Amino acid sequence: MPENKSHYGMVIDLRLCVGCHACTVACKMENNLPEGFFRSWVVEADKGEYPTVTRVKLPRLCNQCESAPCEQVCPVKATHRDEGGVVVVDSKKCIGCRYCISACPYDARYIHPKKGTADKCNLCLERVKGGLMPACVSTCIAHARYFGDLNDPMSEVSQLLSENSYQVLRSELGTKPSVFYIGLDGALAGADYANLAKRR
Amino acid sequence: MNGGALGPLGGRGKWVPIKPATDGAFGLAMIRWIIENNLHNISYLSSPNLAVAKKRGFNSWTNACHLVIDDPKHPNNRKLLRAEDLGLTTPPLPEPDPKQTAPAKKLDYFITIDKASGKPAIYTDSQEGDITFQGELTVAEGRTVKVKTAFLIVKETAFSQELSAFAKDCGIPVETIIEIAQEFTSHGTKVGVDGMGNTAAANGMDGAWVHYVLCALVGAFYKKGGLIPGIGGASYKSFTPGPRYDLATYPGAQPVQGARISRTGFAFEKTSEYKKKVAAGQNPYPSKLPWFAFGSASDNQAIFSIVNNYPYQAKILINWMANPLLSAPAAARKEVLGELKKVERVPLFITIDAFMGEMSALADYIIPDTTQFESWGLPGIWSNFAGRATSLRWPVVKPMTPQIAEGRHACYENYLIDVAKKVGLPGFGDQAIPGADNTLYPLNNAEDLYLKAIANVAFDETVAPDILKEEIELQGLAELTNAWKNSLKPDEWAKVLYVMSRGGRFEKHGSGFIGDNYKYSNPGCFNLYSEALATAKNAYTGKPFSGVVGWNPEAFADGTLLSKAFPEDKWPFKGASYKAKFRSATMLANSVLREFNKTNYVEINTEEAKRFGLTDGDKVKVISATGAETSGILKVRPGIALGTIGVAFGYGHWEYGARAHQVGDKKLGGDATIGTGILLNAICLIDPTFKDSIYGFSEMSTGIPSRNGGAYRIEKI
Repeated sequence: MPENKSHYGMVIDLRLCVGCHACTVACKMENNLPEGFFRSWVVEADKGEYPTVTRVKLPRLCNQCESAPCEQVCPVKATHRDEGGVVVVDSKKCIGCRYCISACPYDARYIHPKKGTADKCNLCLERVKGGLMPACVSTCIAHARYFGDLNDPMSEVSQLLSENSYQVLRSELGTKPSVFYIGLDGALAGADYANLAKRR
Repeated sequence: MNGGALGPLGGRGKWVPIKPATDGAFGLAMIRWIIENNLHNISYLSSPNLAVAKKRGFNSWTNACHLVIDDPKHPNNRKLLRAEDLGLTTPPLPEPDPKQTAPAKKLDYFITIDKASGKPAIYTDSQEGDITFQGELTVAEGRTVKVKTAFLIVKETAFSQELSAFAKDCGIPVETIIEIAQEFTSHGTKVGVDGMGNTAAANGMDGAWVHYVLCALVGAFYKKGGLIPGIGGASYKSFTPGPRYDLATYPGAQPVQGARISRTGFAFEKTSEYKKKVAAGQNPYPSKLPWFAFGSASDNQAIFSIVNNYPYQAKILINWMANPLLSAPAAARKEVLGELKKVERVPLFITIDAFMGEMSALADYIIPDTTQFESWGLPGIWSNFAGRATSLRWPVVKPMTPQIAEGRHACYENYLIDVAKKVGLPGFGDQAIPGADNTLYPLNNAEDLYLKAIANVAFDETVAPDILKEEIELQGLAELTNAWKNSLKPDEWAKVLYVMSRGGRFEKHGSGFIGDNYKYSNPGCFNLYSEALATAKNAYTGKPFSGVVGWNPEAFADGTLLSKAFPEDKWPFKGASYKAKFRSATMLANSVLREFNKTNYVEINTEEAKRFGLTDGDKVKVISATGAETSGILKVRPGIALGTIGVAFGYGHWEYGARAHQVGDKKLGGDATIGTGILLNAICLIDPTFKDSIYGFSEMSTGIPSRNGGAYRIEKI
């Protein structure tokens, strides 16, 4: 992406998330998602050895990878970039081949049961273009989710990343996610993530 | 039980697993350690009255230094010592209020040993009481009476077991108990502990009470940062004698009389059954089913009364907005359902419900009701907010229930109003609700009642401001409320709309305190020793209850310990019912939310699964010690206490849309996804003491049901 353009991303502060799932509900309502499917969701898992156990809450969504496997495998270029480098799906072009669904290491995509095309989080780009925050960010009761331009050093997300240590999910894959977690290392260490691998 | 309430990071919270229904052991252990280490607040506990406590910087008081008669030969044994018992002169009764017809109530002059004089004194006359006194006091005629302080009785009870024994009983190590007790006593009055449904167990009285005793040991009540007990909180006048309307009474109102079918709030000794047995020279105990001197209406006890035709035959059962078959422990057992279906148990059953819940599905008549978006309500928000507050719900959409007249839809309130008018009950119709202007106003529709309650809220204390015209326009309030115009006087609407537009009336945040003191505190005494409890009796054994909080392991009505009847080696698990996210205990119509947790599980600890050779995902049977079983999918996780089966509420529906019903020419329901999971309440224990009755295992002083605890085993299918 050219340097002078904006680069939208999200920062999720896991120290603050209480696992209320308000983001999940707001996303379903905002995007009118079909029953049984989610663009944004929260997984929970026990962590630790009895009796020193806590319960991890990990909000999940499309990671908006800079090097996005879904984009690379799309045979018809339905998956492409929009404003701020956001990975979006053009449902008019999508042929529902499911390559992207298999390619996504974050389990962020699904085939919309009515449209027959791939669907996923687009960071509520229409809201963003209208000057609003993504629905999950504006509804977060704990102020654990932040959205903004990662290329703008003065943005809230850039500030948070400069002030805190942060991680991304599955960094070993080199996908370069634009979704960053503060406290992810602590949350992941020792947790039983059998439940995290798959969408609920 | 569940490791779910904690954030993933940081050291601000810690999960301490506890065996279900052993909170009393944990609490008593804390009390013991706190007293042993002199960390209880003696300045607070030795305040013999509220005025002294306030002078010392507290905002509540206890009867810790009050004396209790501990003398089996004394006619007032187990009661608090009063001035009359010692022949002390009591202050003259206040002048009777000429407005009150009832005679002035006799005041209680409790006694403390005054620290300054070393002599007994009326609690209001002392500046400091001795909290550890015990001994014999001379009464007027030269005889003596043995007494000890309330605090001392609590102490003796807490010292009846070693910390290690308490620790063994609740499954929390001694060092953890000490760590928590140390922390609890390290913040002065800025600490609190309270409980809700988690205390529902067959020994839940102690489990709930112990929270307040702990708070009393440090003087935390009604202090900023301390505890404002959950239930209560200050609200505006609504369904009361209010500034605009009197909604508490009406001309021709009859006092409520008799015993509730739930046997709660009514001592066995006051029943005709008891009196008849005594008159016939028989031992009045046991009663056929327990009676509870304490408590208010209770659906879980009512169910067992109905199925046993005791204390009286149910004639017409009216159920509204409730689904006790899902929420009441043991109510959904097959034998209970079988009885409930019999005409001789419930000759006429009318339900008023928006949904075909399990209870409603048994009804003879179903009156359609409105949902929360179509109905009125002024739900309390308890002490979740420290200021004065009344929240409000009003219809924001036209009800989907049948229209019974222009602008009038079928619902609970309209049904009651119409039936009352038809049978000619006072308090309904055109001349029903007394206004502050001594005029009677109509009660013909739900809004006639609720809007008047809102008017009371709006005009209470400092009258609410008028709503701005812009707000009316912005929210479309004129159109939304136009149909209800005549339910209020024209000059009330601007204030009422102000309250409605805000979803209630709420005092400014932070205004509930003056300095560090909660300003709506209850001036009553927190009883470390409850005379009422100490003089009430177990209706089965006839034995009195303890007057102080204790550790009483679960026991059946006749006192048989659960662990003796059903030993742990055969019945290794206790149940813990918990609220899953986005599931109501009874009903939840929101299909989006239902997707979040599609089913529940039989959850057990990882170590225990290994011990029993069980694996995550196994199909298992959960078997109750008193019969009945259910099957579900096992979930194995470290975040569940040893010896515990965790089961989330709100699953295991067999109605409520899970089963299809034919309504006219329409087939409704039949969605299998609604009926997923298991219902622990369907196999909760019954009390085998009652051989000729079916009776859900309950606490004997209050009727708290055994929702948590019990005895179960798991078998792989």
